[in-house]
Amino acid sequence: MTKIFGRQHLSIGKLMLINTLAVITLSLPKCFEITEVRQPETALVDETINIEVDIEVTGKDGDRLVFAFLAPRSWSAAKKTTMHFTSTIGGSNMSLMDPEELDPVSNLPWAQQITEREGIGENYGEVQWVVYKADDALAPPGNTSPDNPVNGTIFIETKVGPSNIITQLGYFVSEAFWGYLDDGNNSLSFFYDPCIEVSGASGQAQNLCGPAPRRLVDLNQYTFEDVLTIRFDAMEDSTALVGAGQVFFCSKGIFDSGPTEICETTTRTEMISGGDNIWYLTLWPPEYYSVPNGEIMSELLCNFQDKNGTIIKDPSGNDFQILAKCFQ
Amino acid sequence: MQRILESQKMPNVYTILTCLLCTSLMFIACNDEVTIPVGALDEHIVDLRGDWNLKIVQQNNNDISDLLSFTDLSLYLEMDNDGPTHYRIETNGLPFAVLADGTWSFDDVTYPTSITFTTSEESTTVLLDRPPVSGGDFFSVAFSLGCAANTYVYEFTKQ
Repeated sequence: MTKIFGRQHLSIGKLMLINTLAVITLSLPKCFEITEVRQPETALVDETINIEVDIEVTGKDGDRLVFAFLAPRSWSAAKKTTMHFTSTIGGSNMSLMDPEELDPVSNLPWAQQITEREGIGENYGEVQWVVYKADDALAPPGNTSPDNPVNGTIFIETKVGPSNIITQLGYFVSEAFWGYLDDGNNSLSFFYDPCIEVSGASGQAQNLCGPAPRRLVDLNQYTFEDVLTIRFDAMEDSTALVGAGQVFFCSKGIFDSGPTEICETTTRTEMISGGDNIWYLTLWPPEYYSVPNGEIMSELLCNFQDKNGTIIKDPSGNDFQILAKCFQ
Repeated sequence: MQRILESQKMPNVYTILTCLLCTSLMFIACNDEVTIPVGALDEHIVDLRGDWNLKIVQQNNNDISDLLSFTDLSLYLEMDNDGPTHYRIETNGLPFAVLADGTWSFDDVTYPTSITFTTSEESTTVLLDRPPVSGGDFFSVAFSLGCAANTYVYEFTKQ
């Protein structure tokens, strides 16, 4: 049908239909149900994991399945995930949806629409919805209903990222023709509980399911090859360094061969006052930590100190953790 | 009626005279020879040879020149009659697209838009942020150090 109607005609016609449908279906159940998710609760770094999501299709409208997967951006899930489904009416491979494809109701890109309406679960950030669409159209039979649903399973194979992380994975199901209806009946999301823990790399895990950490680096994206300016606001969380005359940056660069610690009260670690209890230190990690030849720095652990022994760590008592964030 | 016709004819006379004047001027002008100095149209290799000091560093359009001792970084570019040859770099612990000595080249020696530095281990291309002035006192290059989302512009001045 999408080939018969142009986009403009489709929008006007569908909006009228959707308005009517919305009134009629206010009391109707959802067109989809996620009945079970089989997902590992732990994994090793760089491991390929398999996830199965059982779905019931309880409405006969629409014929092309849309499925989205919420994963950390550091996993690059769009490049490392394959997906297909089987069902009582047939199966299909699912392909990564064109990022420009718009939800036919909101006219917004699907991933943006899902993020805005479903959120990102318990994660404080650093995750993204990756959207897939069935290659083949499969229309449910006319007698499909909550009492006579189409049952199917979506099979997801994805490779987790290279660093230790704790994150909540999420799943979203809808279909492409009617899209993300305003009444929410044509879509469903599910966030798996508990958060999956990926381990096996050196250093502490980035806990996306915990409280959002301080923002300590002023760049939105960076690796440890970039020039980094560390910013410490002593007023944030009312630290004991409010009003300090000097603040020193105590840190460890973490490498496969072990950490390189620089924790001294010298000009090398002394931060520059930016006024209002804000302190800065700019460094280029390869030089600052004398990166061993051929080694890659996996993370930076740090705290902030004065000369009197006052040490500021994160609220859990650990060093603050800085991880590379580069998604291009 | 006759006067009206005469007045209508007058502009035609002026028009004809004006056209004749312009045409004659055009022939006079075409008789002048334009002299182009010898070599004026020759294309020259852009000359960036010499000792260069890093003066200004921008990270994503923010000036970070004062945040590290960037002026300690210097670059010596060598050229011969065929163009760029070798370079030497003194990084003094500062970041740059390459950190070891090697050879360098333009993508186009007359109208360069990028410079490629080649060491014994790697080859790295940086973009010329502005068209360089041959024999001028500064040039600037743009590149990424780590994440491609971040752009660094280094402006060098001649020592």
